[in-house]
Amino acid sequence: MTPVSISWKNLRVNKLTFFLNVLLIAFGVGILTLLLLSTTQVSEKLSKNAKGIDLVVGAKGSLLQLILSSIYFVDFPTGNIPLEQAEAISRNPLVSRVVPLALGDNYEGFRIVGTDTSFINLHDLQLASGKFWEDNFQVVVGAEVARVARLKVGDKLYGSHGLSSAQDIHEEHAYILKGILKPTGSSADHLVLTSIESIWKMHGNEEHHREKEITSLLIQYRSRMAMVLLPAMINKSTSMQAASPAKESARLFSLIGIGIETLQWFAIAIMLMAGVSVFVSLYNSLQERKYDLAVMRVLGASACKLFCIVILEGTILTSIGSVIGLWLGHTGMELIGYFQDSAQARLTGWKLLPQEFYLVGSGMLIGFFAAVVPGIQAYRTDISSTISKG
Amino acid sequence: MVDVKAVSYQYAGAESMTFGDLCIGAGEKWLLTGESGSGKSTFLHILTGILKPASGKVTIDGTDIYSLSSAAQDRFRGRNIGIVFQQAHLIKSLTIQENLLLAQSFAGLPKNKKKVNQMLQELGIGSKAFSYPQQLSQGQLQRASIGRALINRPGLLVADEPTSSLDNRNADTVLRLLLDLSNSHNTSLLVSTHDDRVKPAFSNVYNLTLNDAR
Repeated sequence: MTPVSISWKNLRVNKLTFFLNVLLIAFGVGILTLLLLSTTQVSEKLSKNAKGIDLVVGAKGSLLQLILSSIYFVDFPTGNIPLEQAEAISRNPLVSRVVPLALGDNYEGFRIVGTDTSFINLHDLQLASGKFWEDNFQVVVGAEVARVARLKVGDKLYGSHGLSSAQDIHEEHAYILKGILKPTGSSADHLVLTSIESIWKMHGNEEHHREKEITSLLIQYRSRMAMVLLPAMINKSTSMQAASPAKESARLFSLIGIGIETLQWFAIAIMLMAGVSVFVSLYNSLQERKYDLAVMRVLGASACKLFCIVILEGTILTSIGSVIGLWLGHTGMELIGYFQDSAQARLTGWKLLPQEFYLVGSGMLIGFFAAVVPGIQAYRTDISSTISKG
Repeated sequence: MVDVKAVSYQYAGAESMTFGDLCIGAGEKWLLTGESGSGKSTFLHILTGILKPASGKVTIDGTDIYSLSSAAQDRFRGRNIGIVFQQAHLIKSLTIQENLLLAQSFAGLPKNKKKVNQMLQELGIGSKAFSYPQQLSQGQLQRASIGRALINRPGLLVADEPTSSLDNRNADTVLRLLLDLSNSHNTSLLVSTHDDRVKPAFSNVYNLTLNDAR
């Protein structure tokens, strides 16, 4: 009969109270886990995709939309920019690396991105099989694309116009799959990469001698000076706009941050309520068990031991709740990820974060503090008078 | 075995009670009698180390129990004194077997299921080892509580009105078990009672009268 087993048996006596308290703690911890998992994963994804990109230049429109479409490949592009103007910026001495992007088509919902080797270098993409494209109408696909569409090197792909629909298929030209990328955990997993010329050819630009256009440019600065000069220059003196990923994702985060904070306080309130509930349950059960405690003292248990037993009851209760809460949070996260529409931003529940130990720890602490007052009561049990009244 | 000397106690707002000296030898059977209100329970609580007297000394098996620290006192009581109350008061969340195991572990002794089961057999409630207290009758509960008091082979067994809430048949069984078991374990026995059914079985009587107590 260790104190732990005694506490556990006491807890099992009142199953409904036990259930209610575990439920409250689990709910609070579950919500906090969910928030923790989603915010870290979203911000991780955001920063991973934006790594090495200081500025995005594209057609005028919404700054956020430009960032979302060119870095995260989720929203629609703001439009196209003339190749000539884009090249002018590439030649600017403030710029160290430029990645051109041409969007507009998709393959079974995955975006086809016309770019050059600089995109591969920027994201440090590596091949799992095959090789990179060398000629027009050759593509390299991300790991997710290959998995979902069951593609292998040598397959033929037909792109369709637009960013998501499968209508309006470009049947006149097929892409040849040359290589499959290793999984990166970033949006590159969900892309079909090819040369910009392929995109132009696909849309017949060559024949019509139209002005060549691309969608946007990803830019890396050469110096800190560029941070000040380049955006101002582009925004003022060209028909294009420049957006900073850092600034825009910070803005995005501050928008959703309010909702997250509200939920956080809500979850904390639930946890505190759980603490009060554990306190009341322990307090009440001790009133009923006063005589039991006195008898335990008679049998040789020290006052400290009784204190420990009561503290353990509170702590075991909330620990179980916390662990169930973690499980709920993770399962919930995985479910949300499963039913998510945008494949690029898919979240997963099967990832443990070090902060979760603090969550379990604070759950246990709530149990501990809720049990302190009842524990002191147990400690102070007056054996003689309790037994005389019994 | 037990030596009580010049013990007195005073409840808040009441007159001080002084108890006559008592000396119980090893294996002796004593009856503690007295009208209700004469301080029988108070005396038993002092004797068993759960109520510190205002003055006097209680020595059990050579140990002055009130000179021990609180935790040592608890442990000493767990090992050397078995107590049976008027009500059995077994721990409701534990089975009968676990209640007896609890007595072993609280006394700091190794758990011994074999010994527990043997004790329950001796008490005629071996089949109830895995039952919970609410599933037992009053008589069975009282027998289990005797088992709990004796499981650690204490030198002294104290019973406070052990039969007064039982019917004749059960009172008889419980009394017989108290006497038989304390005989076979060579345990000193002190039974407080105002139950006349108990009295004939004892030769040594320590009588508390209201006068004595004052």
